[in-house]
Amino acid sequence: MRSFAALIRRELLVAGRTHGVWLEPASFFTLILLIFPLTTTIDRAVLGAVAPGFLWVAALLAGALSVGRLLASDCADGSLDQFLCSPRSLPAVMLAKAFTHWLTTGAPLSVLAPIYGYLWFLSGDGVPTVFVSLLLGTWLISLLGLFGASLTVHLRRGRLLLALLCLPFYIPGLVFGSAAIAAADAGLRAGGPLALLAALTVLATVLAPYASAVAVRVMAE
Amino acid sequence: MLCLNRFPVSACFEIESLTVQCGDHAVRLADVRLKSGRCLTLTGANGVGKTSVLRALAGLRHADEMRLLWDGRAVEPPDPEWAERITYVGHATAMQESLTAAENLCFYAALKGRRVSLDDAAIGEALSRFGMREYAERRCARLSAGRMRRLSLCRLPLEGGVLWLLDEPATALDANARADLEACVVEHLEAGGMAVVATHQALNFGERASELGLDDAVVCGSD
Repeated sequence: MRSFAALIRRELLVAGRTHGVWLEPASFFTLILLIFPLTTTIDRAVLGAVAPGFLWVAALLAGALSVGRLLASDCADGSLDQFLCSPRSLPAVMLAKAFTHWLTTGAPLSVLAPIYGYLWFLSGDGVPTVFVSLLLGTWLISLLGLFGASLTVHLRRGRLLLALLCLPFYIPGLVFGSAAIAAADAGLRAGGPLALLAALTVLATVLAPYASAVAVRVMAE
Repeated sequence: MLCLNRFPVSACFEIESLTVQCGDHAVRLADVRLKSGRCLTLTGANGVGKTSVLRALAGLRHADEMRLLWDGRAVEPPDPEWAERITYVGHATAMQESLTAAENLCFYAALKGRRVSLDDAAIGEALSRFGMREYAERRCARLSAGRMRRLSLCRLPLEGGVLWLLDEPATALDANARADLEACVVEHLEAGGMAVVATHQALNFGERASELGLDDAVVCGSD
């Protein structure tokens, strides 16, 4: 537990000192959502109809871009080797990596998201659902991204492969997450799709750290 | 707390057999025995497989065949039980550039399960072993290559592993730091520790060291 806390502390320090790490996904998200309405009409019916899906796609792209950095510096400076030959459980190390990644990228993004939901003419019920749906969704993105990053960690040009590898895994989350927002926006109950999204997230929380640990070890050859 | 004589005096590490592929040849070791207080220096030409052997021992690399004994009991890297005993310092310094020297060391001590805080005496002691005390607060991005190497060696006295696995530890070190390294290893051996060191440079660990040339351990082809 002590080393788990030490790892989280270290990751947060690194993220805090590397300028822009935590700002990057949130500002990318902001830019997409501010620029897109310029290409169409600023019409309540049009924007409100595409908002649930669009918020999710923007969050997904912002997350997918940042997961490439998850293990890159640890691999380059040899810290990853030290994780591999430390007596701590490797899945716990991986869980800590995913958690700090989410805390510094996904969490700020989901705090911002309801504001854009409001600007994109979502109804009063839709706006809070944006927050819940993306809070779960970004955690799912961090976990799946970690697994992808573990598989591509030693490849020189792994970023594109990583994006291609991960996108299919993001799709179920995307479908249920945006369905929840759309349902809430239409005044229906969002509980169903949100529960399915939460189930996916729980499944990934349990499986992804183990899968990533195995992937990192296999790729360490 | 840095305590000496903390290792069981009778510990014995034995490589019963080890075969590692490196490139187009394989290296095979058999019946290599290392007693507590002894050091093994791996020598051999570039590319012969010194790093591969060390990485296999650290559990970072697949070995075709590996049977290791610790006090007569089979151990299997990367088991936690095994990882608890070793401290591996490889080619890469494993120091995060955006953290300070002390923060990096503190993190690795915690990763080994030691209760160490940033301003603990143990951190300062480890840093001063390699003349790095005055750089404790400096970010690693602003340290020279030689000082980064010194800092990575500071992990050795801090982490408390019995068996040190050192891969070219003297790279980029000046004469002073090399003397510090030799003194640190000798002190570890005197306290009952062990070390396996891959090196090209003549490091003097006294009569406690024995040499193992890997050039003779090469077997051709991948069987």
